Amino acid sequence: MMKTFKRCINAMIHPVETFTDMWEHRDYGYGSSFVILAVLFVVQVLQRQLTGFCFNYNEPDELNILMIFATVFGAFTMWTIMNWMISTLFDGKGRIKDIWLYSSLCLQPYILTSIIRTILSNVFVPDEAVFLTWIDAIGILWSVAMLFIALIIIHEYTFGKVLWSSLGTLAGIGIVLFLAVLGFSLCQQIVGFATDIVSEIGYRLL
Amino acid sequence: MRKGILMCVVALILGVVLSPVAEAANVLNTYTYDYWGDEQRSPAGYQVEEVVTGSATGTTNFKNPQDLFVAPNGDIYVADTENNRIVILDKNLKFKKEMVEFTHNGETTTLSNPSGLFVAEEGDIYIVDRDNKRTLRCDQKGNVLSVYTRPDSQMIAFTGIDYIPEKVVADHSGYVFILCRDMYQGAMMYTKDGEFVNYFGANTPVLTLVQQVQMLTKRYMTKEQRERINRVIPAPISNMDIDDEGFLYVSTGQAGTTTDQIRLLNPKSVNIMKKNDAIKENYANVFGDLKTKWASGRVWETAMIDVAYDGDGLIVGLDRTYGRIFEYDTEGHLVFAFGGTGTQEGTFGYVSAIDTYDGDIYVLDAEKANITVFEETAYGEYIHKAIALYNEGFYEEAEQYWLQVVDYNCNYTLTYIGLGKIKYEQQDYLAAMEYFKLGEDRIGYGDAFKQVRNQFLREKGLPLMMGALVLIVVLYIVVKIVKKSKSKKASRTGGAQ
Repeated sequence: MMKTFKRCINAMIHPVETFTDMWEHRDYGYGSSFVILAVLFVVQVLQRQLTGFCFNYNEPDELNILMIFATVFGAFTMWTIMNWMISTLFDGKGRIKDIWLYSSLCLQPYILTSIIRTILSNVFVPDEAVFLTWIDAIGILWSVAMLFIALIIIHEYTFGKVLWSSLGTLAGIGIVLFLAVLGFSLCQQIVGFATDIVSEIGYRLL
Repeated sequence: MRKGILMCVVALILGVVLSPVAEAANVLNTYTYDYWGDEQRSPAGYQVEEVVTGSATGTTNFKNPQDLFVAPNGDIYVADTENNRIVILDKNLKFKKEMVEFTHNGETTTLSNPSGLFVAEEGDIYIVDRDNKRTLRCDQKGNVLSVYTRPDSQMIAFTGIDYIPEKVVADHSGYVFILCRDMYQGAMMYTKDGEFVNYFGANTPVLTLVQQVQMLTKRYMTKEQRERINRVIPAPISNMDIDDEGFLYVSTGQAGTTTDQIRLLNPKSVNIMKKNDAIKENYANVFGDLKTKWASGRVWETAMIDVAYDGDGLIVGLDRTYGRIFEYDTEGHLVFAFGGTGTQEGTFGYVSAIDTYDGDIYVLDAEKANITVFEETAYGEYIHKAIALYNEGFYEEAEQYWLQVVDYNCNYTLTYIGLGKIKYEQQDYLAAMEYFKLGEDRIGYGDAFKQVRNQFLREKGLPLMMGALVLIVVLYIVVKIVKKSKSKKASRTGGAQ
């Protein structure tokens, strides 16, 4: 347990060594990814509610935990699946389980900076918003850098390939979302059609 | 026994569930919008003082009257359109006289569906004689002094467009602004003697998504395709009012207008209407109802068909769709909205004009052919006084009125911002922070918080830092001791082996 925890922290500070180490020995379980995702979910909810008043533009009535849950888990799952699919195009060697785990490890810097940002937003004033933007930026850049390193190691890509496959992944996510919206509206139309028929029959019979 | 109790319980529940809810009938349905753009009920700011039809004033009934104007001396002029006359009532809404015939160059002339009215300070009456396609300026006795008609000027492209004048205002120097039906170029500006000068105050066109894409790809289209895309034309102005400095208040009511339904135009026809700073950014320049509704198979959105300025910091807009009056202050804050369609006093059928005088609001209903006069309620008085003082920066003096307003209505955002500013001036920063939070004013909150923060650091900053330093040193020493004892332990066990 301590070992997994230490490895997760190490991954943030020395990503290249930790990831290559993990990849060669393959001696890890997948539990840590769920812990990290759960923490991310909690942090997102807390961020929405506990960000200082000066920076919090969320309407209190409209808190929707289920929505946040769906966004966090949905987005992450989509990323993993699409990355795995795109990796077949680019001859990547990573398995879907590995992509899931390594991606979750890469979320850690973002979680950390989110927590720091939420705490600091209660002490800052709108004039000092720049600091918060910087903290955000550091978190995101750090996470993205870790992600690139992880993808290079898992799929055995070159740097250029990582770039293109990431863009491909994002494009893939876009396509899937578009198809989902399309499918949903089609279903709506079918249901509407069916209910119209039923009500029409109802009018005729009565 | 058990059955008896059960029946009693059922009867009780049914009695509660099925009984009609007795609601205090606020037929005026007054409401405001809070920071998030949600409707919040408000106490009535105006109540009906009087409703008069034509016959109640002492003359025959009005027929589809299209305009109303209250002159500086309190006389009420009504453009009784389908009766082809102008009716003048006195301050007490009693019939004074009617104007049917006018003398022009020695000949008598009559009106044909007069739809617009304006009375200048010196008593000159401007009448839009719609179906005669002209606007007359005449004196109190009915002598026509100037006539404004369709200009022959080469400047304007008038091909295929009918000249149908509908509304008129004039400024102090005698410039006359006439609104014509479907004229998207804005108001037509004439000199006192009837010479056309220019267009004034056109709206900016609102582009739909399709049109925006078309604008971008225009360069790549063939000539035929370019001719086929719909011309992007702005909405025409529906009505106007003018203030003492010659600034025009202009309303736009065409379907599809979702922002800037009320504009304040300076002499360069630039919109200087302030954006509402007590509401979310994307609602800041929306006048009227914020959200469009779908009901009974049609779209319900605000159609602002008239606007009036009371000369004292309040702007009222008239919405035909809902039969509502929206009152704003000069900073763009919505004070409240009230009214509705219906048959009771205080509701309307088809509104056609609004004007203000001496704190009262006059609304003309073309369908019911009556004039409704609204007077301020106590709540209205308090909120108007509070807002007037607040807008001029007299925060302290406004305090007593804000406290009265809060007593009546705790849903009004500006109250809390006003109270917050007062507390800030009195240097009670913690109270100011609380009020700003209630008023959703993040900038004000930030300023007050800065003060509290500085105070805190000044008082407790140094001791805190010393404490933190001591803590770090202590931790360092402890960690070092722990490491030393660990290595001692290791060497001891290693030695034992």
